[in-house]
Amino acid sequence: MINTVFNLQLLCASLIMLSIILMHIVKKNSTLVTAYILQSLGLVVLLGSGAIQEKSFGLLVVTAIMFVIKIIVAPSLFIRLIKKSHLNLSASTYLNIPLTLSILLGILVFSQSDILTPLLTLLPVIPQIKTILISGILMSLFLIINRKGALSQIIGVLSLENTIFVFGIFLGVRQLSALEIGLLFDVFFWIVVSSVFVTMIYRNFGSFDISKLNQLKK
Amino acid sequence: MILIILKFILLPLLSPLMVGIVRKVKALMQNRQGARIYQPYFDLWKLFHKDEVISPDASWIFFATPYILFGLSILVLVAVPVFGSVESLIPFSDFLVVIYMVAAATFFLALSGIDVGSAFGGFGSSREMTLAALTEGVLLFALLPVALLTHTTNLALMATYAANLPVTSYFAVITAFLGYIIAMFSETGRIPFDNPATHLELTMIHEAMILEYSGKRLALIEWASANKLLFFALLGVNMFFPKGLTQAGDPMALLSAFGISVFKTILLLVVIAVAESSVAKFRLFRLPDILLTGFILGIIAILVAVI
Repeated sequence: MINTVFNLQLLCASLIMLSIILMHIVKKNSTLVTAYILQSLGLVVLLGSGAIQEKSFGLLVVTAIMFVIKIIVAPSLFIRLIKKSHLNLSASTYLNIPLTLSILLGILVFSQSDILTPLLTLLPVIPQIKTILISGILMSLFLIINRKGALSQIIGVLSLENTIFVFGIFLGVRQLSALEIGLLFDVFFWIVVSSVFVTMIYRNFGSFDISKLNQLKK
Repeated sequence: MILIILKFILLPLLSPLMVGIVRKVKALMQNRQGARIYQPYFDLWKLFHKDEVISPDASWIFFATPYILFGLSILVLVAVPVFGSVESLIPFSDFLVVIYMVAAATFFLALSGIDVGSAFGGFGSSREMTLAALTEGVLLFALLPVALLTHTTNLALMATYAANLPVTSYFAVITAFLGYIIAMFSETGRIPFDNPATHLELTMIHEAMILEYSGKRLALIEWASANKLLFFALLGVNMFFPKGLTQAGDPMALLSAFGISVFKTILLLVVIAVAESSVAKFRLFRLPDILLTGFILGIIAILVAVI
C-alpha cells in the first residue's frame, strides 16, 4: 500500500513537471488553462493519496477545497475571461519555443548543481524527483518572466504556488489543516482579485499583453 | 526465424490498412464520409496494373530508388518489436542501425527527386534534406533516453525492459515520447510538416519528390511510405508504452502480444489523425523550430534519465 501510494505520488510529481513544460510550449490561452487543470489535478491526487494513507480527515478536507478552488473555480474564471475577451491566441512569449526550452534545459542542469546541494539534502526522495521538484519551481518562475500576457503570468504564479506546495509535501512539511485551508482561501481571493485586474487591463488596453501597458506613459 | 518470416509477410500487408484508417478518421473529422479503410489496397492494385512514363533523363538512381525504399521499409518493419524479447535475435534490430536505414531511404528518395532534373523534384528534395538533417537527430535523441534507461540499444530488448521501468523514469520516457511524436510527424510527412493529400507547389515536400513516378514504381513508393508510417507507429507504441509485449516464447503469448501491438498502433494512428485535423500546415521556415523543440525535449529526457 505504502509503495503504491509513493509510486502514485512520484507519478503526480512527473505529471506536474510535464504540465509546466506544456505551459511553456502552448500558444493558446485555453490550452494553458487546461495545462493548469492538469497540474492542479496532479497536486490534488498527490495530496489526496497522502490523506488516505495517513487516514487524516483534515487533509482530506484540504484536498476537497483545493479541488474546488484549483480545478473548478479558477479555471472557469479564466475560461470566462478568455471567452469574454475573445483573446484565445494571446499567450505570446518573449523567447521563441526552442530558446524557451533551451532555458528550461539550463534550469534542469542548474537544479543538479552543487549550489543547491544543501537544499537537495533536505529532500528524502530519489535524485530524479529532487531535480524535478527544484527545476519545477524555477521553471514556473521563468514562465512568469517569459510570458507577455497577463493571464499567462497569473497562471505562472499559480503554477509556482503549486510547485512550492509539491516541494513542501515531499519535504514532509505539514501545517495545521486550519492554516492550510486559510492559505487556500488566500489563493482563492488572489485569483479573484487578479482576474478582476486582468479584466480592467483588457477594458483599458484591449489586450492581455502587458507590453501594451507602456501606453500609460502617454 | 519463423517470426521474422511472419513479420516480413504480415506487417507490409497491414500497412495500407493503417493509411486507410488515418484517412477515414481525417475524413470523419472533416464531416465527410470518406473512402473505405481498404481503399489504399485498391489504389496499390490499380497502380501495379498501370504502365509507367519515365523521363529520358532518368538514371539508375531513379529506376532503383523505389526498390531500395520498399526494401528498406520492410527491413525496418521487421526490426521493430511487435512480440517481445524473442525478437532481440534479429541481427539488424539495433536502434542506431534502424535510424540509419530510415535516413538511407530518405537520402535515396531525395536523390531520385533531383535525378530527372525537374524543378518540382529539385525543391522537394531540397526541402526534404533541410528537414531530414534535423529529424534524424530528433529521432536519435528521442530513443536515446530509453536506451540509457534500459542499458541496451537492441530495439526488442529496449521495449521489453522499458515495460518494467520504475515510476521515476516515466517523466524521461514521456518527454522523449513527445520528441518522438515530432520526429514521427516529420518523417512520415504529416501535418504540420507536410500534407500528404495535396500537390500544392508552395507546401509539398514528399509529393514533390515522387511527382515523376508512375505505375508500378509509384505503387512501391506509396507502399513503402505506408510501411514507414506503420513502422513509426509500432515503434512509438511499443517503445514508450510497452505493456503487452511478452518475454515468453509460446504461440499464445506471442499472438496476444501481436494483437495488443496492433490495437495500440491503431489507437495511436487515430490520435495522430485527430491531431493532424486540429492543426494547420506550418510555413517551411517555421518547421525547424518544431524540430528543435523535439530535439531539446529529447535532451531534457536524456538529462533526467542519466541522473
